[in-house]
Amino acid sequence: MSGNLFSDSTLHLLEKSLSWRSRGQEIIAGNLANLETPYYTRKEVDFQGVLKDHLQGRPDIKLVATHSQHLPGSGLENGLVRETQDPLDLDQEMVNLSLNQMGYQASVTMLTKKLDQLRTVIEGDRG
Amino acid sequence: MNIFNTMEISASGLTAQRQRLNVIAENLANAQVTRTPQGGPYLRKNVILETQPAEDFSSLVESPAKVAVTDVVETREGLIQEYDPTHPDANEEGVVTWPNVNPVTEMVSLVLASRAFDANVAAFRAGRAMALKALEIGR
Repeated sequence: MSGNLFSDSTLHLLEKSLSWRSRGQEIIAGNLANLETPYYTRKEVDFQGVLKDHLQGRPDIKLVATHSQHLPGSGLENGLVRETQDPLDLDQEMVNLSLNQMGYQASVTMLTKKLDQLRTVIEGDRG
Repeated sequence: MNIFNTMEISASGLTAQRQRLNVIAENLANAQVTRTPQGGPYLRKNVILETQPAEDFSSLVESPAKVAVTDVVETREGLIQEYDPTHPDANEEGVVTWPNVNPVTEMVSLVLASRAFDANVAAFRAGRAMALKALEIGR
């Protein structure tokens, strides 16, 4: 932990990770809802790829706003969701669902621990 | 809001599969019906599922999609003709037209719809568990 407590990069990363996992949950729920829709192709969440990009410090690619009232876009990283041309596979989707959920819970747990540490620092040995 | 969005997507899947189950049940119930208000035998019905945008700017590829039953269509294909002059609904040549419902096909569709329903329930549960877990942050 360096410098300012509240600009800790781990906290920031965990927060990002929660957003990505939520988006992933939406995409997987959408895939499962469209299990029997003709011509629907699987959408895929590339969590690893986005995480790698983030860790390597690649700058986010944003829409250019030439006017103050332009919409900012979804605010999520590009490339998080990919349209594969593959048909849906229920088993694979259920595995992805579990993985995504576990990833989310792991991030929440880590975030809670991180905040606990902060609390310990703030309260000292009063606890 | 993300958390409620995922539940809405799962709910759309549940609704669609339930409607599908209704249609399958109707097909099975009417598998032997030779008399309908429109005249003629019962015709097998089929649901048409279509993706629906889950959020604004849905033209973006990256947005998740809901599902909905957009249409219920009847088909005349595969009506069974049987020679039975004693049947009250036989035509002048003594041929009775039976519905084109194949119970085996319907049962397979039934199981598929039921499994798809289960999958949506699982997705809903996962979404709810995640939402509840998020409430524990900082506790």
